[in-house]
Amino acid sequence: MDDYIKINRKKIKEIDVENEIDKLKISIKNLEDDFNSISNELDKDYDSIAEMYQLNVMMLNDPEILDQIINKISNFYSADYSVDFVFNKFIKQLKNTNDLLLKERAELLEEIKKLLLNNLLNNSSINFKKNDIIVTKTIETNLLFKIKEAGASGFVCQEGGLTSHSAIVARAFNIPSVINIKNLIKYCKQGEYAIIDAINGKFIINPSQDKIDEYKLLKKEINNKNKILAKILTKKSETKDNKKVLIKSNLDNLVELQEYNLINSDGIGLVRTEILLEAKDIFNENKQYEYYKEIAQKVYPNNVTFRIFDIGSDKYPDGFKFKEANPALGVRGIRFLFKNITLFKKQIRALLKVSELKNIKILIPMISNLEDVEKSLAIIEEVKSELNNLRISYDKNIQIGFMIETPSAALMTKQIAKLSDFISIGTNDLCQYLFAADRTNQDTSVYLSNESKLLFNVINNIVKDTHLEGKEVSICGEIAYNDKLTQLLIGTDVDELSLSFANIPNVKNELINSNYKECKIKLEKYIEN
Amino acid sequence: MIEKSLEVVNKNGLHTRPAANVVKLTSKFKSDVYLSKDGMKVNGKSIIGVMTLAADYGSFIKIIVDGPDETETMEKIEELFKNGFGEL
Repeated sequence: MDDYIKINRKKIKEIDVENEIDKLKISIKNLEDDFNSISNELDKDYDSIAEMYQLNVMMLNDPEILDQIINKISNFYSADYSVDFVFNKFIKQLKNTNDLLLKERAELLEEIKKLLLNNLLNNSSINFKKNDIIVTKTIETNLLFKIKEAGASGFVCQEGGLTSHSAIVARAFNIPSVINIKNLIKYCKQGEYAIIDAINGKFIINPSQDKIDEYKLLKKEINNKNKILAKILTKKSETKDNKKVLIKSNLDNLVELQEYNLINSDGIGLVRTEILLEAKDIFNENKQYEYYKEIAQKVYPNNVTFRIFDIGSDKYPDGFKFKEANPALGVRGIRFLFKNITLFKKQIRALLKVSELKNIKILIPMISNLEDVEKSLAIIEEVKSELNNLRISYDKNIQIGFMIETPSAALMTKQIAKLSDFISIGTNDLCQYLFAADRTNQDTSVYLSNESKLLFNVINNIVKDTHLEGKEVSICGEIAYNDKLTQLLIGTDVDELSLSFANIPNVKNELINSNYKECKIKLEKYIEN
Repeated sequence: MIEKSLEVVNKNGLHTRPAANVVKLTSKFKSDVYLSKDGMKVNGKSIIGVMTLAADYGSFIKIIVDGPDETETMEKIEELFKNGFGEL
């Protein structure tokens, strides 16, 4: 399976036209069968991906594309050349729009083109056998199905070309894999034995018997652990002595949303919305609305917290880059939004419309003083009035929270909490500002440690102050991801932790096996010294 | 041949999922179906065509149906539009 496809521009003879068209139709049918197989095989947790494959089938059968390809063949071009030519035309058309979704469809069309060409040019179909390890330059999703069906052990790729969809389907099918292995194909010989260690990202060719035994044992341990973890995910998020701490997921894009059902978290504690700024039509409120609604619906009845656009410092979507002397201390977060009121209001409007579902919250980043809080709330009230005048319904009681991630905010938590509906501690930036050390600078990163007693002291105080105002507080920085620190965090009395899907099982495991009273004592001892 | 102008009534407009529902419907019938908006005319049985139409909420699309079962086809299309392409 070579990623490099050589297209023949050679013309064909008139008598071969019918043959070429038949070849085309067979390849389309083969691919359609593959897509349908994948779509049927994915269980209901992956219905978005299954839908995508159904869309692929529709695109494959698009009469416009088909007619034009057949037309080309009838003009004495080979099937592969015609497919390449016509698909490229449509891909260009979709790419030239300003629509983010249509651009994504262009990528799907590109993948379909490659699969179709592969099918056309390699007339022998690829057969996998049980326990085979597939070694390839890049992987395409229809092959994943063949791998699963054959009972192959897994695959390894030379290039890092796993699209998000491939990665998710590979995970959905539980296919072990390692990608981006330089010179992989040179090192491999047909028929050799190898071990795929997908957890550590290793591919071991011709392992020793000792190595084999080591991995056999490891495999057993992991299977046992997975059974236990699966059970954990169904348990309530509370300690042994019934102290509730919600464990929620962070979300960066719609593709990750598929993981939500599998992990069964208590909701989404942080949706980073900056990805929407990479589309050219960010001022299209409908597109934003669609995006937020999809997330809110999927998570319903659990809650979703959307953090509004947090631009600046090390995050600059295309078209928003600007020069500053000190980006980390500059126009970022809410400051940026105050300078771009139209953008701010559009996002709030889209979010308020989605709030009809009554399960969403809005989170405002980078607050430095009370004026930031008051001004944000005033702007939100303006948008609410506008919606009232237009008789558009929204959740009148929607919760608006603020992030504590600057030292000033940390020191005035009580006053901020008074005006907020909830608080979220951004420990990454908070740590950076507390120690005056750049997160992105290797030379200063020594100052930043999630285990810092000072940081825990500060967190402890923020939680205390927030609770004094009768409000709840969550933590959504990297510190929440570290399961070795979960017990200390429980000891701070925090109400919720939000982290990446990958480590939720371990963090939840810590939670349900801990005793709140003990955690509190542990924390107090920790920050005392 | 029948022509009719229909309104896009669902809030998200004619995005991917509704587009797929339109094409699923039109593909069932023998008649030719075309969708036209702002001078852009696409084959109503082409998923890519319908998607690129990108019709927003409140916009009007001219539907052109031509063929042996055109009456039934137009009826069903009208129904689909009224239901917000199955999303309302």
